[in-house]
Amino acid sequence: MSDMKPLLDSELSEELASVLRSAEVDGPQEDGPAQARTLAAVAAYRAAGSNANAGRSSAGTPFARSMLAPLVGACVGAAVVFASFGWSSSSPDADVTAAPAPSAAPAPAPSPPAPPAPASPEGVRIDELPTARVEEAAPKTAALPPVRRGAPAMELEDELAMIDSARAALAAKHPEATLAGVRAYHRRFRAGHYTEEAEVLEIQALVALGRRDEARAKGERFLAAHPDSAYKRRAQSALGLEVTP
Amino acid sequence: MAIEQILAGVSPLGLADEAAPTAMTAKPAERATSEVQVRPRTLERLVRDHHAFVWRSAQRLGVPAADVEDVVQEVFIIASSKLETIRHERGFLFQTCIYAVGHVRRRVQRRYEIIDDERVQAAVDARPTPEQDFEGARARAVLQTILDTMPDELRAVFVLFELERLTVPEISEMIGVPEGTVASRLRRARGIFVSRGQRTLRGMR
Repeated sequence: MSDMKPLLDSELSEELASVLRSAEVDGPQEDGPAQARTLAAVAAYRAAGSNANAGRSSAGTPFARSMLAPLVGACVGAAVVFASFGWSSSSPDADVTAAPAPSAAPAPAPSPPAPPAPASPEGVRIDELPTARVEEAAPKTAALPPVRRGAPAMELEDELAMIDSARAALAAKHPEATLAGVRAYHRRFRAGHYTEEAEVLEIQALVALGRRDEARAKGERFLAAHPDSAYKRRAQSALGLEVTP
Repeated sequence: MAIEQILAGVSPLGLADEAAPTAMTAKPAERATSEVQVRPRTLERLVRDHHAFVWRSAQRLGVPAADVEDVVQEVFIIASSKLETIRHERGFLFQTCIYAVGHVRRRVQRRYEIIDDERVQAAVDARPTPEQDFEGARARAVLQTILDTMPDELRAVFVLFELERLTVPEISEMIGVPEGTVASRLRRARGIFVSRGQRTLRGMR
């Protein structure tokens, strides 16, 4: 069974062979920048988690203020560092968490135990998660703050902070950072209050990056899903479509 | 399921494989310093070595073109919190990719109500790029159509063997199923590829 040969190395009609060979072009068109965006997204996501911890445990410090600079910094920093130095350099000193994200977040303040997260319709059972070879289970620690009930005001503030930072990055002509910020937002708040604005920011950022095909695809979906959105004109304008009232 | 829920309960950010033995004997303070220094490099290397592979896998597993990058990023975000436990990098990333692809399919269908086949096909990356000529683009579209008709477990094996050119033992190790099962799935997937491929091509003449 292990000596099976790929179809392309055996007798296969030329037409079918060309179908298989057509997959050779798969992959990102430019891997270096795409890798940088991925690292920026990871950094932004983790920075958002760290700052959420810090914001929640420091009484009286609005998370919106503490969030803005590190998140934008993380996105811009990681994207710029990896894009400008080139991926191949891979300096040992390069740090994904280039932003001054507080990696050593203080211990969370004592709080009543959060209720278990409700099972969402798209919930995945633990046995559906991918498996990795594990030498020994490490002590279980939450890497990121779970979205908790009982703190709606703070969550709203967190949401707003993420949207504000993404918008600020776009205004500062850092669409890469906007993209990373928006994607971090979508991951953190699946059904957030500012989802529509996040989607439009993403479309605007894609346009700013010259990725018009992706922008158009996302824009068409947005307009189809939200025909009466308050952000409809912004989306149309970003896509260069005729703006309808 | 949000990523927070996936990440909750996993171990703290991991260490590079090469640093693990040292860290296991290090004192807590030294270990913390080591983690801060080593984890980003491990993640960098993981992205550098496997980014294109994850991207291709997402495309071939049926992610709409506009969502491929999201899926890739989601895979590496999950991986970034499980570095310590990853022992077979490609296997872990591929299985995480399968999970993320399923998640995206459900999300896209629900959020944007892309439910009819025509629109799903339109959303799949079948458009020619500057690097592809018309025939190449058409062939790629045919391949995607065939892949989309395969059951997921057959599709995964077919993609890894025929498109990534991995061997049966390698695939067996990656996805954690016996070699015989891999070979059996591969034979069935090949049968689907050949029969549907011929039929599709005949229909296009």
